Amino acid sequence: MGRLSCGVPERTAAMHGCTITTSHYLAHTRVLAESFLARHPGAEFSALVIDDSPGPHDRDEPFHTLAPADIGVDLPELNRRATMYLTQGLAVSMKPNLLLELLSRGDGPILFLDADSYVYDDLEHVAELAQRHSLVLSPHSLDPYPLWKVDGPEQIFIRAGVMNAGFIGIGEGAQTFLQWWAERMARRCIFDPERGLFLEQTWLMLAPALFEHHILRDRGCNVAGWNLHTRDVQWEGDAPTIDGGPLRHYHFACSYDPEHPERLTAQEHAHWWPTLQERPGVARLSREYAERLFAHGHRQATASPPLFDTMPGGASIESWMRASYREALMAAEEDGAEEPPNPFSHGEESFVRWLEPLALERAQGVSAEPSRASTTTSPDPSGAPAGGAQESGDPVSAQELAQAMLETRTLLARIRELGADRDDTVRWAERVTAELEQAEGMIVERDSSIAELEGRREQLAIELEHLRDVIGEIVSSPSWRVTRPLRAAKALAGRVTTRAQ
Amino acid sequence: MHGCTITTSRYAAHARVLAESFLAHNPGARFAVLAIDGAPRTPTPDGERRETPASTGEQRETPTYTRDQRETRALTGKQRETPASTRERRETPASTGEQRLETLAPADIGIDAQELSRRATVYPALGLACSLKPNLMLALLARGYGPVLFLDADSCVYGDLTHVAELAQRHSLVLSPHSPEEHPLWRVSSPEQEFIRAGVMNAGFLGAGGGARAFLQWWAERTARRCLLDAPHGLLLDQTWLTFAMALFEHHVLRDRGCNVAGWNLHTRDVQWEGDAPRIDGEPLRHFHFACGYDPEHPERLTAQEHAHWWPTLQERPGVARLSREYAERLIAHGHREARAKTQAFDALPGGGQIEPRVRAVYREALLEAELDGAEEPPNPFSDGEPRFHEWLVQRASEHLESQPAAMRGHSGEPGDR
Repeated sequence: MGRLSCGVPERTAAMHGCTITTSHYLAHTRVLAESFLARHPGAEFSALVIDDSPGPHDRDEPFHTLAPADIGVDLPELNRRATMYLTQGLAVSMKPNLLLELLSRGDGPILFLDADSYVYDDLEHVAELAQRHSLVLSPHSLDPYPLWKVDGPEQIFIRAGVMNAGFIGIGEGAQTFLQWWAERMARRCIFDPERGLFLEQTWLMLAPALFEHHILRDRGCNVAGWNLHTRDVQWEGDAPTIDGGPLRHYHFACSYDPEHPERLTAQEHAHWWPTLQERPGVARLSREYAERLFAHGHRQATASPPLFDTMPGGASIESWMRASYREALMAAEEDGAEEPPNPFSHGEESFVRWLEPLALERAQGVSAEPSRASTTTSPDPSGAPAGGAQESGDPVSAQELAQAMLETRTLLARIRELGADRDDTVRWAERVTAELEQAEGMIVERDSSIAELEGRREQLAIELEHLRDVIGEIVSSPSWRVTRPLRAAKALAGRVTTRAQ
Repeated sequence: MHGCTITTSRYAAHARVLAESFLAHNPGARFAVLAIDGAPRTPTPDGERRETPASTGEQRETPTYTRDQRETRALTGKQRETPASTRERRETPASTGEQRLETLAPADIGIDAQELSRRATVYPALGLACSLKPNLMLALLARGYGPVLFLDADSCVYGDLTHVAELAQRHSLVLSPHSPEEHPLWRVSSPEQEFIRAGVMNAGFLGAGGGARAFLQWWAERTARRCLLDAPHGLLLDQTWLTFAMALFEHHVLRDRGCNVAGWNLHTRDVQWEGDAPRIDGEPLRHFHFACGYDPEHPERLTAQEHAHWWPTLQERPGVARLSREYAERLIAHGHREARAKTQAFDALPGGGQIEPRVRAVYREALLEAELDGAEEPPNPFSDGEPRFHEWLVQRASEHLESQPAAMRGHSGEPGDR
């Protein structure tokens, strides 16, 4: 309604939905694309499949498939990111590139939806807002949360991103935002809360300061476990509603598992979400979504292993390797030096060879740790007695005493921690020592058996020599020569009897 | 428009310079200074301010307070407000005969002596001051002089700010980002990442219109007990909460390049001078924020704080250098040295001792237990006296200590659980 009267061009109808996926999540992608296209006739849906392998999706997909190369991420760059980032980071790091590519085609506003979400109703108003404001951001929650003693959901989102990166509207004029975001995603799409980083998501908090935008306050969009604290989905026949309006889009975020439709997530950090027992309306949504995923090949899709979690040879890329590579890559790019080798472009062998000195350094760092720890285990015990030795009537000394007691508490906890570390190390050392002893025992055993065999060989050689002499004697003896015709006759008789048999 | 700030007596000169500069450039407006260690206002004869608790004054008969009453009189010029009802004021804001500058005490904004004592035990002076910001803005909105503009005490007004008030009227809440422009990227962290952690919106420049009450109440609820420096839990005083406010409340992000100019957004620009008129990015400079420990004894630098190492220096920004020299002179002329000579109220106990950060944390934990679980409220040194506070503290510490060996036994008893 009112699209033309608002002066929004007709091509708004050509809204373009999109997502990013791996072959593992193909069933999710199919379900999302179908749900989006069913509610938006005339619209299109594209999916960036980051590990576009020919096998799993030869069938006609309901979406246009894009590979990283189609959105300007060439193979060497994909390989760099696959070495720095885990699959999820790799996937989301390309979000701005995907949006830039679709925007450059000029077919109208673009709506990015996370692959693990589902469209239940029309989202055209979001496209219109994107057309008008260039960028539409969706907050994790539109309602305040209750406060906890320590931490709380609002504080969690202050750290993890107030705006959710799984629902974004993009319109003409968003290029500068997308370029800014893409620049950051290339090397800084990591999980590092101490530096304010939570993949692509925390960067979105800065966007309101820097770019024209609109904050979406539609209560039916991006509904998810984290914003169900005040509400449930209601059903009018087969039509889900929420807060008195239509449910438009539900986000089955944080590793929803269709094998367990009775819960929204099993992730520990989401312990404060309401359960599906408390939200029967969402429980029905979950059951239906799980069925759809199965009907669209979820089990087949998840049977193939994820592509980038290991090196081509199957060895895992550990987080310290990723961090070292990323650091070296950034340094090389800044200084114009040669880039470090990665296992996908340069082969596992050259990557491992490059890692060797770093691994050695790391091993030395680890072995040096116990000695560092032992200096902290011998704390300066003068603090507590000194506080206690002062006059107890003095109020300042009382505070100092309390302070010392509290510090003792911290110290005790630290000692306990170090004790546990020491116990672990001792256990490990014991295990290694036992293995060494066993190996040594085996070596001694083997040595003695070698010596024994050597002796036996020598003895046999002597025996052999002796036998040769005896045979020689026998052969040259007169009786041997005399009995020769007799022996020939016996051999002949033996041949005849075997033939007869 | 009602400008306001929060200060302690040590920053009285800053508040005077700010108030004076604000009133000079915004002739129709009023300005209120909340002095957190100030005395409550004396009730006016018409009983307008009858809610001002007299008991607070009695309890606070300490030398600090007599000193601050003098301070208050100096700030207000000993003038009494023209008696007028709130409703009349709304019709005729800032009528000529009315006093435009006033000093308020916490009791004047609904923070009674007991609550102030609790917060003074939970927070050091800076946190205490920031925690009262939403309460101050709520109280001023209720007075009905129009939109409220909060400015940090260490800032100075150089031009008209009426348009900010208009935006606040229209959008309820006006937020000012630390930087309206992107920053270059560094290898490890970078300014943008620092803003992500410290708050994208600066809490030193805020506009609130009539529609901002819901926001201010939400914010007040949070700053009451959660106005801490606790980065692992997402807290930087009152500031990081503003990032979440963007999700919950109608607001406008101010992109006026002449407002809230500060060291952290000078990376692309300098102040230009046209005679005696400072300009920036081709527009009049309206407001400069001398944030992060600016010291008028060292006008040659904006800050000495380590975390601000990436700001441009004043050698690189001669236009700002002149601003700094002039501001330093004004602060010193307005009694900065005398104010600095005072001890920071609330950083010390009534008896002169310090409250250690860990002691504050233990008190806060017990206070939250009292408020959320219905446990008994812990005593604090300002309301209940230091001996009782210390007695309680030692008792609580020993309770914790006693629970410790058991936990240790439990742990080492099960070596297999690791």
